[in-house]
Amino acid sequence: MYSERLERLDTQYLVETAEGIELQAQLAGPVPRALAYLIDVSIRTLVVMLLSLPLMFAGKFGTGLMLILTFLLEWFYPVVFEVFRHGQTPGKKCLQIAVVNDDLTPISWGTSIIRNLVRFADFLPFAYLAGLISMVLNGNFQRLGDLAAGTLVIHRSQSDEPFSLPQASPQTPPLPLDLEEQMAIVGFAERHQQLSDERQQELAEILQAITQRRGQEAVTYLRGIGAWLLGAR
Amino acid sequence: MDLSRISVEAKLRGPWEAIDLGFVMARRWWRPLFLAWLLPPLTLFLLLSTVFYQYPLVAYLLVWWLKPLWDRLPLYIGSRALFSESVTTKEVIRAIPGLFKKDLLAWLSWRRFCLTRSFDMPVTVLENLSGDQRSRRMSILHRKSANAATWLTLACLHLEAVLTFGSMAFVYALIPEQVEIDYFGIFLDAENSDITIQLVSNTFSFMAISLVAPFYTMAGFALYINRRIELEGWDIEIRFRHLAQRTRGQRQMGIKNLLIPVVFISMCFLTTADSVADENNDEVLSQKQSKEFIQEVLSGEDFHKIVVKKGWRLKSRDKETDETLPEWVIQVVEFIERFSDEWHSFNKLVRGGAKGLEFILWITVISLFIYTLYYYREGLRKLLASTQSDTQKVKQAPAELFGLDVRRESLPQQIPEQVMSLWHQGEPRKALNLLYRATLSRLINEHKYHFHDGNTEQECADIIAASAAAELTSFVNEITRLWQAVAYGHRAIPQQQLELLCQRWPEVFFHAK
Repeated sequence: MYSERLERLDTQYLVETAEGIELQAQLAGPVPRALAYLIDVSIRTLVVMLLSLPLMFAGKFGTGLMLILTFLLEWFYPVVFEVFRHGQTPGKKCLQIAVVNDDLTPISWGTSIIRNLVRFADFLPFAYLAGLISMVLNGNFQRLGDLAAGTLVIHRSQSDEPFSLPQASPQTPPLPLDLEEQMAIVGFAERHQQLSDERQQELAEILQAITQRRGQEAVTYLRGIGAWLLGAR
Repeated sequence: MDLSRISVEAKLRGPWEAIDLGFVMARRWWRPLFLAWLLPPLTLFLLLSTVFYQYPLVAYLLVWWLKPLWDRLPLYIGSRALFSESVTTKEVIRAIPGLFKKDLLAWLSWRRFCLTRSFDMPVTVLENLSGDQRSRRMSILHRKSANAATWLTLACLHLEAVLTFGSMAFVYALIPEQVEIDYFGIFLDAENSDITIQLVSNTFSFMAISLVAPFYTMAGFALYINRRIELEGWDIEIRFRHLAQRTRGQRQMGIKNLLIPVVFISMCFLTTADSVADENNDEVLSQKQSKEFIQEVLSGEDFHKIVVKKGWRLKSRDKETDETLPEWVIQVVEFIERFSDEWHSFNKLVRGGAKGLEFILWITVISLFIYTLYYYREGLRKLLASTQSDTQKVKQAPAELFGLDVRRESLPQQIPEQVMSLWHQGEPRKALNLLYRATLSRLINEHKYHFHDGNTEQECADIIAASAAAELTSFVNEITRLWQAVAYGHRAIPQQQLELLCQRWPEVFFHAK
């Protein structure tokens, strides 16, 4: 069964720690990353424009300062945000993605600086073409800078929308369930508003041999098990 | 639709994650998807290019306008691949007319600029919905993913542009300056310029859109699949079916399982540890079998892979620096040698005053030490207090030693009598257990011997032997040996020995008190 699951396509990235704990993350691909970059570029451009207005009146000194500021923003905007904001520039925050080291530890100064300096190579020959090609070909969606620094961009979705559990008296499961089965039943209870009633009955009747019930009764019973698994007694 | 054969991991994902999954799908099934997308428009493109040689833009624009049609073939192949079905070329060719026909007019006219094209396409192509039904379905599907689908289209549009201009720039960068191409003549000469520019840019653009299209189609398809997983609970269905199958399998084994407890009970007192494990779970291999199996796996190919890696890498220079002294150390030594004479005379001068200086330095060190102790007196006091309480904590008598309850409360009053009565009831093991527990309990609570939770029986006996009177030591040694023989060796207890121990018990413990 396990090998079967390995073959299934997914964007999942797994790391096993020395303690034998498996950490997992969902890799982020070119589209969300490009959009996050777009937001960052817009923010940077806006900041540079706002700063340049008063500096315009400062003559050559102003121009010099402008150039320095532009340089710093261009190269260190991502570094500073990635290090101090848990791997998220404002654009990445909008798209709920984040940079981490490839062992899923938080990104540090060194790695962040490397990945953002190699941006230059990614940009070649025009508008991040090299980076895009690298991202599409690489199994972990890494651009050249990521490969050099050993970093990944992953999805960091915020807590999902709150759900309401259906009214059902808690029921003890009739047999021991493994983790995936428990998750399926809990999911069945949690998603009662998204799934249509007919579909819920259909799903519940798959387990007829276990629940010994049919139709709406089976649905209510399974919801009860779900509530029990979530701690209701 | 057989969900058990689905080739992507069915679980709830956000829309962006679904798009990324689409990219993974396109990468995995790249060849068929790319060829299926490329071949029909390429034929048309070449055909039109030759026919309308004077107007290259016509060929490109027509092919570009028909993109909603071209997207349908990879979608068809992707939808089959999703359920692990492979399609032959013949099947694809036979499917083409049917695929192209669906909602043709709408997709080529007012829906041509629909920003969620790749997300909407499956509803037309795979669900065959049109008109009212389609719009109702759309409104459900769009509720969550329309935003991402729109951005997907915009992003892919820009990807195409980046790929077009990028590859042109790349080619241009590779042409050496010495090669004197008459760019002016090619691009700006009035006669030929338009056609040449357009031919070059057409080729690059066509290449770009054909490379991006499979990703775009699959990303939209993945968004659509993701929405259906969410709406129809595919992940739940897959796991429920798995659970149902598992229980069906278990019921068939039911009769076998009934026998196991009977066998287990009857063998309980006689069996050694590993045979108990055997009866406990009939699927577990016997010790010998599993050993053989492990050997087999270990000698297998997976553990004997030899990988030869060739390549350039930096040589480690750590060793060399360790062996040779750094430059500056040599310089310092040389400096000292050069001025050694001066040093010598200086030494003589100083030696007289040195004795006094040494005395002062010692005084300083000692007073500094005392001052430090005084300065940190509070902290030191706390530290001492904490270590004391630590030792006190450790000295708290353990409630359990090697799984035996040794609290005083758990024992009856009259130990020897209880032990003998248990013996006569035909429970020799329990009898010895009680005696041994009582011994340990007395040692801990009355003689104040201190055992750790982790001590073994023999270690406890050794602790006693190290400091106790000869009588107590011999008693403890004897009972420990007997207990070990019974508990681990499953040997029978000779009655005499137990009686003797019971007789000695009050003597030993009252005398020592």
